[in-house]
Amino acid sequence: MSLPIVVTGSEGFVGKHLRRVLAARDIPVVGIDRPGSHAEVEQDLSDPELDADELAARCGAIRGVIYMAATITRGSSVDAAARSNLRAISEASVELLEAFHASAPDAHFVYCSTYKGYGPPVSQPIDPERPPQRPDPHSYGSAKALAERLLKIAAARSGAKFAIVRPTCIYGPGQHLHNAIPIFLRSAWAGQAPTVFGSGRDVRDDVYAPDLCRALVEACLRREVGAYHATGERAYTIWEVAQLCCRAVAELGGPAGLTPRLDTSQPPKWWLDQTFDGQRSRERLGYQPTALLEGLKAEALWLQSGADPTRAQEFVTRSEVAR
Amino acid sequence: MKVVVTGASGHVGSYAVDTLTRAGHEVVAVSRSGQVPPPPFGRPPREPRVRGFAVDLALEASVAPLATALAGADALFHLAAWHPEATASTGRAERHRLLEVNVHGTLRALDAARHSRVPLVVYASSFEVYGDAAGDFITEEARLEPITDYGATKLSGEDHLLAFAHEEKARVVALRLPAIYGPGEKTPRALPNFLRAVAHGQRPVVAGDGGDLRDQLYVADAVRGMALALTQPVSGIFNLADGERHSIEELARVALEVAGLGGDPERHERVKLRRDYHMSIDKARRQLGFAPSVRLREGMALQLAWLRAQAP
Repeated sequence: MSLPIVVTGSEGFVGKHLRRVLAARDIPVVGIDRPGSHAEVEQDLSDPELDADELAARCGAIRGVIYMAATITRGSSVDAAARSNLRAISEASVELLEAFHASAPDAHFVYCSTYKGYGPPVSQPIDPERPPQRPDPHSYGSAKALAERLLKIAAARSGAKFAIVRPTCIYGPGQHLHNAIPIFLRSAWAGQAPTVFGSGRDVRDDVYAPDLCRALVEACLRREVGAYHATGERAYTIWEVAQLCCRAVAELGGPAGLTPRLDTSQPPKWWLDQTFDGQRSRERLGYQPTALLEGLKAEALWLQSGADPTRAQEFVTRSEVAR
Repeated sequence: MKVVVTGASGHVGSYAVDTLTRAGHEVVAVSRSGQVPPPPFGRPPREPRVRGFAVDLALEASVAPLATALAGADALFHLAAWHPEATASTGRAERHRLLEVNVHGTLRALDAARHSRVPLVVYASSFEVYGDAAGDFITEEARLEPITDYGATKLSGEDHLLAFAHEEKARVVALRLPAIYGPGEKTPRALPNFLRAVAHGQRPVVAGDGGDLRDQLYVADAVRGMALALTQPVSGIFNLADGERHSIEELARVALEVAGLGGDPERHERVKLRRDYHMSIDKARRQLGFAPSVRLREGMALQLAWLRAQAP
């Protein structure tokens, strides 16, 4: 067995996918997650009194760190929940970069960021080497952008090396049910045409959670530095995504013949048409995204089985075996 | 109008309180001590139309009391911030304090403004948000790549300010300020260091050719720019400076001149790479109607007069 990789946010939606990807490669995990999460190390990363040195010491000898601890708060971007989340997303990440650089200088650090920091694109597809500029007007993208900036400044000071992986919209078994894809899929299972707000022509990119995890692991093992995108096979319009959700359900034996319905009376909430350059990820991380239809089928089966977050990985494995 | 000013005890804050009060606004001066700042150097006593309010924005418990102070306010001028002496070399402890005061403090102020439905927030940002994108004519559209923790925290304040504007449908004006000078300035940077030197009959010391461009803005002009946000129906991010290109060398020469010394500054070897920061203020001129009124020589002469009036 090799040295473990530390995963912050190990018990969350993506964290569980990451555990499976690491287990498949026989790499042990030291998970860090909030008290009561049953992670190997239970630690609230939003604690203002967080002792990063002590936390790093507790993790012992390690091979790398994949930092993804974050929650998406649904309220105001400036309320107490957003402020607390900002500590875990931004402050604890830079504290841990420095602490691990001191305690385990050979460990490679990878930060899981977001596409939500770019803002209106200057040119398309977006080059991952362009730093985040103007985050979506929400605390999540703002906090991740702050983290990236602080990490870069801290690394320049200490000589620590790190990589950033920026996923697009993350989907897959285990995801929160209030997002577009699970809403479309559940609607299709119920035999109802999914509703798409706006013109349906808005472009989006969806990354399958296990693909993101493979990108994070490769960036860590290959000790990459710089920024990488974790994207889907290609960008689709939101209407095409809804249509593929109908098709996934139909091919799995669910209701057939459904076509998404447009509701032009309501615009999409906040939308920027962005496409992302994935060439660097393909070349340097061996990144090969899963076809959207395949990922949607895995999620559709999970939803149909009752959407139990603890069983999400079964459906990923089943889908991979079937392929 | 009722205007609440955070950071009222600071250099810019004390001028803001004074200028807004004299303009007839009802001002609440928020600071840790809660004391009303005295009128700035050289300004006459004023009507007591200003109320002090004690809140420490570095504390989580500050939101509720600040919301009370903001009840019925037409605007919040959020000027409270921590500026380390040397922003280029902040360590862990300083970063912690920067995050607590500049990021969390700003979120807390915005949270309080949200509770009290304040329709306008004016925020003091910094040229340090540009960082690596230094240049000779930086517009608001330039790349944002802060290279200091201070710049990163100020930029995060902007990001959250824009999120607040989007969510609360409020108007926001963020002003990217250069070094602010004028009577009362205590920061240890080139301009005040040069003036302190000449006040003691010494020559300012310039590194290398002193060619690095650094924007300057006289404190009263900074406050005038902020106050324009009360009357101009604009929202967004604006560079603010005196609009002229100033080199470190020029600051040293003007310091010698206003002190009546003349001659050349002393020279030391350059240790840092040259980096220019000169912002375009066209957007502020156009949309805010901003027109700087105090030129460098006049402003530095005023600051020297203040320095000389201090206890020896």
